[in-house]
Amino acid sequence: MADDKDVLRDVWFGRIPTSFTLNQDEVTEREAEPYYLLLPRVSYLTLVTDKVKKHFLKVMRAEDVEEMWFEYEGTPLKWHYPIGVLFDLHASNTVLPWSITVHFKNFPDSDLLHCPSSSVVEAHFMSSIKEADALKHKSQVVNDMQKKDHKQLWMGLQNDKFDQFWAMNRKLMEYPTEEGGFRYIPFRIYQTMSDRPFIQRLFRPVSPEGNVHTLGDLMKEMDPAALPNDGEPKRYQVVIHGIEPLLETPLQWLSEHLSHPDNFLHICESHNPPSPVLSSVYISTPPTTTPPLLLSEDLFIGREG
Amino acid sequence: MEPQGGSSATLTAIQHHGRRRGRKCCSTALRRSQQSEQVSCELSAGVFLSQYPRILHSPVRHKMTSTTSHMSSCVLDEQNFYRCCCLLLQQSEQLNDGWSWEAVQDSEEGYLRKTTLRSVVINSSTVWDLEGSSSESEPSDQQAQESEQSVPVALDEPDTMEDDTDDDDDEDDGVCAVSKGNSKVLQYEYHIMYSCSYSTPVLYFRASTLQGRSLSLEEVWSSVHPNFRLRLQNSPLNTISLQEHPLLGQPFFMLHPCRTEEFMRPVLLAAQEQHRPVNYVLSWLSVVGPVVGLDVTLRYSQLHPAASISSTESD
Repeated sequence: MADDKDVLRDVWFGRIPTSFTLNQDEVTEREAEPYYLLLPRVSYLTLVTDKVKKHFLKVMRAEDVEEMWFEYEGTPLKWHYPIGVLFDLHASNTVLPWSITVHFKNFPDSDLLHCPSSSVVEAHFMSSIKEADALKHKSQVVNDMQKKDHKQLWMGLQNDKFDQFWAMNRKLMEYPTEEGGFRYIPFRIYQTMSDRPFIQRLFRPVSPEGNVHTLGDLMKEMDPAALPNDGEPKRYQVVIHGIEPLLETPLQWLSEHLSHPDNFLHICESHNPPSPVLSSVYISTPPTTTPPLLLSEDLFIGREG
Repeated sequence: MEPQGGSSATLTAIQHHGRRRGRKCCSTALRRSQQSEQVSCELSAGVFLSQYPRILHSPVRHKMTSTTSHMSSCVLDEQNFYRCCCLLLQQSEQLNDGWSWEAVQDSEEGYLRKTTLRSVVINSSTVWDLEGSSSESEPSDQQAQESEQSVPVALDEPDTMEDDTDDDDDEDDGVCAVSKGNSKVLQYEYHIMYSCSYSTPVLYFRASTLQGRSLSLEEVWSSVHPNFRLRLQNSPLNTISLQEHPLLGQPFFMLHPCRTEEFMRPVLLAAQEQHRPVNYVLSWLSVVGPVVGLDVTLRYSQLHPAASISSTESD
């Protein structure tokens, strides 16, 4: 199964340096300094920003404070998407640190889900894991787990405990060898230029003829415009965790190694011209057992552990 | 595709949908139901309506999970979902009960949509005073009290529960079983969508006051009939939650689909044994809709019978 433990680690410990600035229209008693954090790519904004909230509350009066929310260049940030997805989708060409604006009033009800407590994040996270397992194993693995096992997955994410999380998550990554992969691959494709939040359909890791499906096969099926015709320059980037994996990478391998802790493979398709950072640094390892993976150092800024 | 273009445009849009996917599902379904005099079976939405509390909390559902050999007939694939929607729309048009089809631009997908005004009765008005000023009320306390009150009813007098349900079946009663307290007119918008992950339909909805303020999750819970609320809140996964609408990207309330197959299986197996055709979506809706104030009129059962929906999913 998951032999490439280094990849799992690199994905887990991916960080984005971020500066939080209070929205100018907020009423404060004295000037609010920006607050800096290394945000884990695989976590959720509302789960890792307690310190940000505390920081700004120091300069505000309690009656001016409503539910906290975040915005980047006019776009309200959906806390229920993993942080790395938000960055790749909205800010992949930004100069670091990523500059996020913090609001304490005028919560955009029509754009964002309310998140009154971390138990809402937990419910969302577990609901994603269940949905992913419905696709992968007809819910059999997640239903066989006990409540404490579910808790272990959640606590692993909440407390940033890689080993605790993966000790349980590996069960969700198993499949019968003879089938060559999961029943369906849990994935979501986000497009920067689309009104639709994401594309999610049924897609198997192996074709009926027994051929292994690749990332390219998936993109061709879900959004043919994403791939350039022969000789054409690339119009879109297909980005996972801040990197552009080779389109020849088997989808099953990506699902096992580059999925977020919610067990979905979150793929961002952005219009932007390729940035030098993303396209220049490659580590290619193409032996037969391990599919090739492209890594950019950008992905692992602030790497720990 | 114009969503508001009336029913014939709607049906054409869905037929088109079926065809574009290389599926003749909807046109076939339409033809069948146009020739419906030849089909003799009855669609028994009424039966399901009267049974829904039992179906929802069926004690036999764990036994049922072992009958995996029949499972293939209990799964709704996407093709059949659209076919069921097509039939439901046609019947809704005859009954004039307001369902329409909304196609998503630049996409083959879409959803059934219905809006309705609903008078909701709440024991205490505190939850609703948010309109003007910030509230000092404690919705959770109030809910807890209500739940406690309804515990003896649910445990000691199961008959009472069914009586309540019968009341609800009367078209114009709404949720008036709770008679004390204030009533409030709310605007509800319901969407029925297909979940490919769970192979089931999913009910999304949002609710607002006539002044346009959206209801919070606590307020939605407090508008759920106490009998349903107690059961739902005891389930491991709270069954109503705020989620992103998968096609519109806006916050909607959702009834979680992960248990749908469980409570639909006995319905479908029974129908299968009796060789009764069933419109999966309509039967499912008659089970889950009343929880959030969406009643399915019994008159559906008096209309043309539905074509049988048999699944083709094999694994």
